[in-house]
Formats: sequence, C-alpha cells, structure tokens
Amino acid sequence: MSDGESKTRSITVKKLTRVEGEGGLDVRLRNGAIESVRLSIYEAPRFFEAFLRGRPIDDVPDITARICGICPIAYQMTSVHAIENALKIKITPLIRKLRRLLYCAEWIESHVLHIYMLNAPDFFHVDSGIELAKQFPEEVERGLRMKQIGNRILEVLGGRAIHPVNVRVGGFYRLPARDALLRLLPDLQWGLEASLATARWVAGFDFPVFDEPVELVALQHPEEYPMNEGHIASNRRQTIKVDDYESHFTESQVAHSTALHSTLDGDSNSYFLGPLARLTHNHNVLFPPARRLFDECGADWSLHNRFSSILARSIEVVHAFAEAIDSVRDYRPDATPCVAYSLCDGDGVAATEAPRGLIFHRYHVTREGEVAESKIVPPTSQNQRQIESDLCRYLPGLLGHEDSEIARQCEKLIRTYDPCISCSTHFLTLNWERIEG
Amino acid sequence: MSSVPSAIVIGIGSDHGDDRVGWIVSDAVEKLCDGAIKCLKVKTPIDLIEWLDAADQVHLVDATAGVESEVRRLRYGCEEQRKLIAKLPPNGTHGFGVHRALELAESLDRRTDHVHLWLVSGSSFRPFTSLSQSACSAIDRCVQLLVDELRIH
Repeated sequence: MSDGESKTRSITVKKLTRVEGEGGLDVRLRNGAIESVRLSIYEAPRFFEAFLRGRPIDDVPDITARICGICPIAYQMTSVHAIENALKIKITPLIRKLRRLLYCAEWIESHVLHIYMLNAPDFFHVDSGIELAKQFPEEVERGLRMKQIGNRILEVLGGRAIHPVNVRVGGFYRLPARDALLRLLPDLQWGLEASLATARWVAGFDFPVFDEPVELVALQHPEEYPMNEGHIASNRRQTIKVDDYESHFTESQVAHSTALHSTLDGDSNSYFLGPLARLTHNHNVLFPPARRLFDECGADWSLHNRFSSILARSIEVVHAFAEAIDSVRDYRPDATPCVAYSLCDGDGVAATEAPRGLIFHRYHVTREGEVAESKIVPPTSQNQRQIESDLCRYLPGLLGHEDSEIARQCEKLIRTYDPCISCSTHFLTLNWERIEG
Repeated sequence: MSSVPSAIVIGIGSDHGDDRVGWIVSDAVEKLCDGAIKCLKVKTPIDLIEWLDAADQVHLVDATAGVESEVRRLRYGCEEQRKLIAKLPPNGTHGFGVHRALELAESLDRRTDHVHLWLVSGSSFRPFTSLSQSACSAIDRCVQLLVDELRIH
C-alpha cells in the first residue's frame, strides 16, 4: 500500500458470549489511537410501551413481566408501584415486605446465575461455566442450588417459578400460607451460608483493576437496602426525587443503536447503575451478615473497579438471603392480599432496583382503568453509554495485544456490567477497524 | 422395585409465540396421565439440571425452528443425535441452551444418557404473538407420541 493511503483491518468476533441476549460492538482505531467505540443494542423500539396503551391496568404486571425473562419481578414491581402512585394507593406493610421478598428471590436467581455461569469463568481463563464446573464442581453445584432456592421463593410467592402471576395493582391476588413460606426456611438458611461461602470464594479472585472515576447512581433509602423505594443518589450531585426523574434524566437517539442513550442533568458524561452503585450509597443498611462481609473486604477493594462487580453481587446475594430469612420468620398473613382502590385519571412514576440497576417506569392511567401512556427505562440501556466510555478508556492499555485477545478483554469488561440486552436486543458482533496512514 | 419414578416430563419455554409449546405439552401430558407422571415447566434450560436424577427417563420438550417434521425425538445418549442437539440454536438465556445445560450436568457427574429431547416445530417466537397454526398441530402430535411412549414404559 502506498504512502498516504489508509489501511483498514477488520476483526470480527462472532459472539459476545455469556451475556443475557446479544449485542454488537464496533471499535475504530486510527493510527493506533481509539477513534470511536460504539455499542449497538437493537431495541425493539419501545414495543412494550406501545403494547401497553389501552390495556387495563390489571394486565400491566403480567405484560411487563414478559419484557425480561431474567428480571420479570423488576418490571412487575416498577409497574405496580408506578400505577399505585398514579392512583394514590397505599399498600400495607405486609404487602410491602412480601414484595421485597419477591425481589430478594430475583436478585438471588439473577446474581447467582451471573456470578457462577457468566462472570466467574473470566477469572479462571475458561470460556464457560461448563469448564469452570470441571475445576470447581462443588462451587458450581452450590450456585445451582442457590438459584433453585430463588426459584422456590418465586414459586411460593409469585404463583409460578416460570412466570410470576400473583402480583397485582394494590398487592397480591392471594397471600401464601405461613407454612408454605416456613418450609423454605431450611433452604434459606443453607442459602445464607452458601452465599457467604460464595462471597469469600469470589473475594479471593485475582481482580484486574479498572477503576476510572465514574458517577455511581442508585436508589438510596435511609432505613433499608433499596429495592422498591428510595430517592436517587449520585456520588457527584444532589439526590433526586424519583418524581423528578424525567427532569434530570434524558434519553436520546444514537445512530448506531435503537436503544436510547441516557444522560443526567444535561451532562454529556455517562453514569453507572448496578450493584457497585447500590453498595456505594447503601452499604450501611445491609443486613448484618452482608454488612460484616462488606466490612471484611476492607479498604482494599474499590467500589469503582468494574471488575469488583462480581463481589458486589455476591454481597447482595448474602443480603437477599438474610432478608428473606427475616421476612419468612416474621410473616403473619392477614386477610388483606390487596388494598381497595378507586380508579381515576392520574400520572405515576416509580423506580426500583433491578439486579442490573435502577429501572424507571411512568404511567398515565385513565378513570376507566386503562393505560393511556407509559414509559419504561431499563438499566442496561442507561448503562450503555458508560460501557462505551469505559471501553474507550480501557482499550488503550490493550492495543499491544493480538486482536483476538483485545476482543476477549473487552468482552470481560462488558460482562462485569451483566448487561441484560435481551430486554431489547438482537445481534452481536465485535468489529474492529484499524485505519493506519 | 426402584423408588425413582420411571419418567418425568419437562417443558422448556417462555410466553412468546411458539415458545410456549414446551409448557403446553407438559400441561397436556400431565392432564392425560392423570398426574401419574411428574410434569413441570422451566424457562431456562439450566433449571432442568436439578431434575436429571428425578427419574429413569427424562423427557424434555422444546420448540425450535427448522425441524424437518412436526415432532422429532432425539436421545442425548445417542452419539449421533447428541451432535444434532448440539447444533440447535441456544435459545436459552445467556446462550445456555439444552445442550450446554446437559454438558454442564455432565461436568457435575450427572447422568444424561436417559434424556430424550422432543423437538416441536415452531415458526414464530416474537413477544405477545399467539401460537402458530402449525405449532398447534405439532403440539397435538407431540402429546400423543409422548403419552404413547410413557404408557409403554
């Protein structure tokens, strides 16, 4: 090739593996420097928001639960809380606690699957949970059993493990019998010990360090580790009421992805949701076993190091089991699975903490009890910008490696976010373009 | 006499279009067998691992596109058929399809040679779509074949 002409080399990685769903990543380098990084998430454009229009509000929990196969509870909880806010419904403390128990189950299932099957393999340079199981069969068995326990809680409280059907606006369709929950206790107690063992195992991993400063955003609550309630906290700005979400968070279209990018307070910088953010703002209200574990980890671990996300998830699993035990022991069903309410025109918003981070819903409901308009903002699309930003900063240190190794390292970084790209998503390819000259 | 049940049926699927097939077949078989056969439903193949020791025969039912006939039965214990199963698209979450889940089970010294995979032809897997006409027909065929098989054993 003659002087002055550009050389372009394309490298394609067939699949970004071990993430939920699929996604695409394009990296362009010019003369050895990163020119652009674009993460492509192909979101069925607002399909569900359109689908909800005109639907009875009673259908909303069931419909939104189908948006994500891994996080149905996150979508259900956010939707019912938003609609309840629109209708000024106050749920009872019992309903509130049971909903948290449901969320504990989902965190257990989602986090454990990610820890063992998706993320832990990266720390042992193996390509899958299958190979990890050959090295660590007891640990993987432990993980599978922990996930099963999460399933059991969902089955008892949610109505079915495969798809929760018991959640409704105002509460639940039925309350489980006390015995049904108490029967879970031995497994939950086993699960607590197993989650502690998991966290200690994970804490011993050799963590790469990538701890570039980042804005960490999560719900914060003065009295409890946030799931369904709280205000929005950031390590870089004043707290934001959930009611004011749309005054601060803006979604915008980008050419390379149909999933919208989110920014905060007009700031062109990205922000980061998820377990590291939650722990940053709420570690003081973890249940005691999890709090002790957090303190054990000490100052050595950085809540900014993206690769520590697996440890953050492990700590949250401990919290989830501890809180589940507490909830089950305290459970005394009363006669009120659901509070009565009247229909009216109204607007309501809610934000909850899905396993992957803050999720926001807004609904306008009519006095006929239908959804007139909705808005759903999942955590992964909010994190998209941050992933791109992180890759831009992470890549320069890798450029001396072979292209396949660079691609592998990028995948590892992306996996730390546990992106749930199937809440949207389509294809995946990692494309490199090197332009020289 | 073995205390382990002779068979278990596990429907794999989701609420989306023809992906419901596995669940519908599981429900139908349970009804036709009057509860004599344990039938259950999972949404992710990884969840079937805990049931592999539950019976002498494990029948998995899943919908997939590209099946030549309405219903195809493959046995994981047969080397050639296992290769076919390995080629199926990993429709499970996180790319963990049936084959990967069974490979994981083997890594954990679980038995898998007793697993039969009943593939039912599906064409539409989009969210909030109904079952396709062809899937409805295939479901009936699969239920009949599976019940006949269960009654023989």
